Amino acid sequence: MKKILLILIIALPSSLHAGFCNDTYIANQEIIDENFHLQVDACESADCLDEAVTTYSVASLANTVALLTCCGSLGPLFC
Amino acid sequence: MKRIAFISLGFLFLLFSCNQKNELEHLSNQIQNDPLAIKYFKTIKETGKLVNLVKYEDYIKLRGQTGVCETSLEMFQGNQKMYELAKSTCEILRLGKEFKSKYPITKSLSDDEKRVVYGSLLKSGPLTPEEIQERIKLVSNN
Repeated sequence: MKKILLILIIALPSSLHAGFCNDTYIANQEIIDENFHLQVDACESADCLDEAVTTYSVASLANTVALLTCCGSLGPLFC
Repeated sequence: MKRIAFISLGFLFLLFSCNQKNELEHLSNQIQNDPLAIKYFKTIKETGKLVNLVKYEDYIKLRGQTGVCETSLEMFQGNQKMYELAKSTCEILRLGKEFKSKYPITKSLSDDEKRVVYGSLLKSGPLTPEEIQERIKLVSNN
């Protein structure tokens, strides 16, 4: 039993910590946000702006879904 | 003779690089303290926040082919956040034009150069637990 526990502890990636899912979500969101700000700044037309907002919306949504999946599979401790 | 030419070229390259770095630093200070730039990037960030608080597909459907500057609250069936998103996007267009005509050089900057020049203006503050919960709620309801 002790051996299994020891293997589990060693096998767990060192990056996993309490709040891991939330921290990953926030870090990814900061990158998504910065890219959005840069993409918007590069726009000079309404169509380009619409495209930037749509891309941002999709990326943001995917990040939130990833957060839910992470919390669902790792448990509330990591959220 | 070749050696002198090579050294001179190297010196000129160094001089050019230093001058360019100084120009970017000067531009960075100017932009980061300009109320117009501050307002422009604040509006972009607020727009981003609103995007995460509405069902974007519904927003696009309700808006149809209408431009962001020609919308009304009725068009979004009274949804205030969607209406604010359209207004905010329209404001970006207006402020963006003003900003770029004041700083035309920014149009030729690469993304990495912009990261240096705009600095903290590009960063959105960390999300609060309430904001995260609101986003999760929106996704869960979809």
